[in-house]
Amino acid sequence: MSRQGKIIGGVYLGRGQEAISVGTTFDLRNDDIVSPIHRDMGVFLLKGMPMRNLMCQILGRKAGPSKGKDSWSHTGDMRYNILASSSMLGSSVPIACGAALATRMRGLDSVAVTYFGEGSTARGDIHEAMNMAAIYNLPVIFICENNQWAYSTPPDREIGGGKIAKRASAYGMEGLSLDANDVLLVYEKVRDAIHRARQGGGPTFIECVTYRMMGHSEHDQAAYMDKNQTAAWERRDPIGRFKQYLVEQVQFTESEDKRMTERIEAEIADARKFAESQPFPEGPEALEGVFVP
Amino acid sequence: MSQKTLIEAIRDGLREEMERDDTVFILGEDVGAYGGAFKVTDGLYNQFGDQRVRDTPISESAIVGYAIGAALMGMRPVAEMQFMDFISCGFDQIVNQAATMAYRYGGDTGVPLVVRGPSGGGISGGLFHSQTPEAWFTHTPGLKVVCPSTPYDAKGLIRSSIRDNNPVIFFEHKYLYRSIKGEVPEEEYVIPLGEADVKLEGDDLTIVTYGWMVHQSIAAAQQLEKEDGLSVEVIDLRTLSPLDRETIFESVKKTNRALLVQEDKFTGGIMSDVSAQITESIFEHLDAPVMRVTAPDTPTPYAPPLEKFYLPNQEKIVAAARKLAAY
Amino acid sequence: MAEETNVLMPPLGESVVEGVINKWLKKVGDHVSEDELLVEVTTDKVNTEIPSIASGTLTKIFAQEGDTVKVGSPMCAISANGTAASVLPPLPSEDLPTIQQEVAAEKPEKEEDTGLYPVDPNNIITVPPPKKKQTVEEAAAVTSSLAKEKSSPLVRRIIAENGLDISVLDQVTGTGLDGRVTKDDILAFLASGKKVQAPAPSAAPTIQAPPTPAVFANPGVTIPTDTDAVVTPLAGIRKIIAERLSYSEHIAPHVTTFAEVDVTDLVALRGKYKDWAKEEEGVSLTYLPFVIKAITAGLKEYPAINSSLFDGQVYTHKNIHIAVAVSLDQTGLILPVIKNADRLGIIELARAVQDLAARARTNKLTADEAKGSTFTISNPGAFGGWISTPIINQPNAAILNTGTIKKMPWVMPDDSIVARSIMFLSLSYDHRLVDGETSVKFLQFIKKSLEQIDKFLLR
Repeated sequence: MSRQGKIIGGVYLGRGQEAISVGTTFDLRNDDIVSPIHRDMGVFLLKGMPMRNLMCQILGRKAGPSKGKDSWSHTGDMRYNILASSSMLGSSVPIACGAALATRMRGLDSVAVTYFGEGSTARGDIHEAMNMAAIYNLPVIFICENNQWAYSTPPDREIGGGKIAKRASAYGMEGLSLDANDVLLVYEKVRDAIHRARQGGGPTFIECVTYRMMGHSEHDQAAYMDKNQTAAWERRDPIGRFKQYLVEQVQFTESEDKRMTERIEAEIADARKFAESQPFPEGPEALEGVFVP
Repeated sequence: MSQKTLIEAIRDGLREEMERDDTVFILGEDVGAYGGAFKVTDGLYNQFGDQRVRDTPISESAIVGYAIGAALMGMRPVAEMQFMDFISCGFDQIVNQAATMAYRYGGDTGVPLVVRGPSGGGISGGLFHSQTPEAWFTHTPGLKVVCPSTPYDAKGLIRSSIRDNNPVIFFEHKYLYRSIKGEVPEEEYVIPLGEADVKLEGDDLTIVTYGWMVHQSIAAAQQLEKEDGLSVEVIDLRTLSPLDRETIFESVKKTNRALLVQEDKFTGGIMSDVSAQITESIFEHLDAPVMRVTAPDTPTPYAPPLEKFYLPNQEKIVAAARKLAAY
Repeated sequence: MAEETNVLMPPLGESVVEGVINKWLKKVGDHVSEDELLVEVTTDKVNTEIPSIASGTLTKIFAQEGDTVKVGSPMCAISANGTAASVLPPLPSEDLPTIQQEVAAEKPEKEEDTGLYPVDPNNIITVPPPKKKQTVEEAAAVTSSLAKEKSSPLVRRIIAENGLDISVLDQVTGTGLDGRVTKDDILAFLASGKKVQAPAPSAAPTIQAPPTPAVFANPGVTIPTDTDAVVTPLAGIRKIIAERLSYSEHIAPHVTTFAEVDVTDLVALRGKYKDWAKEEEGVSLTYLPFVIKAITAGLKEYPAINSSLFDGQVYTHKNIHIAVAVSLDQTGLILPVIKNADRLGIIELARAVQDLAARARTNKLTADEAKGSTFTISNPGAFGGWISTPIINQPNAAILNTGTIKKMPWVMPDDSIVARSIMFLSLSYDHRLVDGETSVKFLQFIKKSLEQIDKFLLR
């Protein structure tokens, strides 16, 4: 759709990182909070946002959650407790922590899951957020998506001190690093963290090690990426792995797979058709929505 | 009715809002047991506890960011910046996150937070304890900006700022905290945002101003009345954004001469905008150019003779008014 | 019926304006499915394969490999030929989540402005050259420049509201900076009841113009964007002319009546005395003085036409002042006035026209000479025009255009057909002021005068 000129502006796919979106949100309740970023579109859907809404958002239509005001993932919907993010990667993390603070102050056991890339951990906002979350013992799960590329910068030039998960202990916080292309592993560890947080056990930092399977955006040729490395990670594709697991463990059949795929494609086609038929907002609507009444 | 200082009026406003609505809470550096660097929150910790009067580390970004997250979840946080000079450490959270949230949510979800703190000079505070950074925020759509000049206004405005469903940046002049006293009613009252106040009525010349300069302007007006027989009207903006154009225009249409006074610097301050709006909209009512009294384009200096040179004051306002009256 | 869809070059990056066709993956005649890869395109940022936006047969290729195509321009055309686009399995029976109630699902009716970046390079507006200093000022505007410098917007407004001219400031004592007049000064002056001296020596009192009628709002006219236009602001004399003409058209219901004039005898007369006029009198003898003479006589016969409707009052002028249109090359038209034209003979009229035209073209007219007419004449015939529908020069009641003189076959009183010199007159009149009968009779009077020129002049 981007190459058909239907998506205006930047497109940032999360191919190869799907296990993170699924594993982290599968056990969340409606009253739990998420603050997904640009490669976590799956989180929007799993948290309850209808695909049609998300598609309208991507295509800049008035019917989308931001009513065309911002692009891609820079929106949210408090009916599903999805916090809106921005291009300032890292700035969404203190906000998610603040949401967790609010639920604690109200005596609720909701948790907040906040997503950020390994690159954005270089920003002060994340340090401040983690520091304060540890002091306040907040129910926050920090999901660091280490896909090993911050645009064209690899971790050894982005992360001082090597492994990011080590930083958690500096904040007196539980921290772990895992193979995030294994959806069941992600699910299991996040489930534990959610459980701990609900019981008042405080924040957890989970470094999800994965790989960015294409350039930073659709406009990035990514000649700096090693094709062999990408091919190796292709063999660890989370969807493929999980399918293999299902085939081996529960005799998942080809026809079941086909039926499921068709159903999903139909849903996507419906959402796409719906969104493409929706009008863009009109020019003067740019003046609306700056304040709420 | 009782006589209160500015700081007492603000403290009372905070306390009464917290009593009235338990989603209101305060966070900031040293605001808890210590009562805040200027003691604005003194006593509130004892009354409301450490959850609702919450100390934070030195993390302006996180202070504002957390406030945004809590506000999205239905709380009404009041974040204190120890000095408004430090607001720049939380700048991204204010202008890119808080200010644009409602827009990104399609106008459906607001961020009801207040960022408040002491601003302004006159206490030999130097570069980083004397700033008047209002203009960065009046320039940002999605924020409301308030600056009261009297205890009565401060209490009414802090209450309505807390009750507003959008982010409000609330500037309190540190010099005025304890140096002025005013009548404040006991009963509950609020002052709506976006309304200026005619502090002094006059016919010959209009002064538009805010904050500490309101007092300097009133003193100047009284001197001009006595010495020159000039009748000067003084308008206190109270809310810097959204601007109360109506009150300003009504006054300038009456007097035909406008003098805009701000403690902020010459370039890019709020009065540059007010001037443009006046000439744009009511040109044919002007009998003279719109003039300004401002600080120069320098950082706020520290040594007393330097700061005195830097700050606008009664004397400079009188001189400017005389020049304007004679045009 | 095959429906054809053009596949356009999409925007492939934030600042990308064009792409180069690298390789066609399909050829003309091939079947293409929606989303199937169609062509490989290169930009300075990216090498991309573009998927098709429709299913059907690839019928046309507009750009070959190696060609550069601008973003938004068509690369190829696909013809839907009856086979349905990708057939999807029906949606499963469980309810799919839908958008909340406020969303309308109807197709948008008008073309949306998607505000797509990047900017279409065909749509760049040329910045106009800086405005040249005006060479021709509006002659009627007499202002005291010093007064203007010294007055504030407020003071000028007070002056205007009191129906005075800005030059009144010369009579007011200013107590402001450098002697400028303040609000108090002008108000005091007005209150003192001092007699306001007329600003110009003309005998006519200044009469306030009636309020101008409202300008129509644009009902949706737009400018075409693909005409490679040079854009300059409407300014100077063109602007003034535009305003005057629009105003006249708007307030006066115009009717134009025509008369054909057999000027054969006039042509002969003029031909006979042309050289003499040049050598002995120093004037270029054209047909214009004769026409003016006929007009002045006509206006005496039909005084209703020598009138003005202004601010609800009808002014029937006793004096006859004729404005003569003088063309200023391509920049516009100026209308110098011959005062009391009825008192001048043919040669005198010729001289007056010549003199005014020369001075008009060199910007040496006085203020008085450029205004105050009671009737206007213009000669588009000089450029070959035959008949026309002129626009009245307010506040006149009518305007006469003379056409070119051409030989035409003419039926004579004895029914013979002979070649005669024919000139057409076009008279536009303000139907609020003048009725058709009077106007036609007036024009016929002029016609007869010119046709029997010798008798006319002898009278």
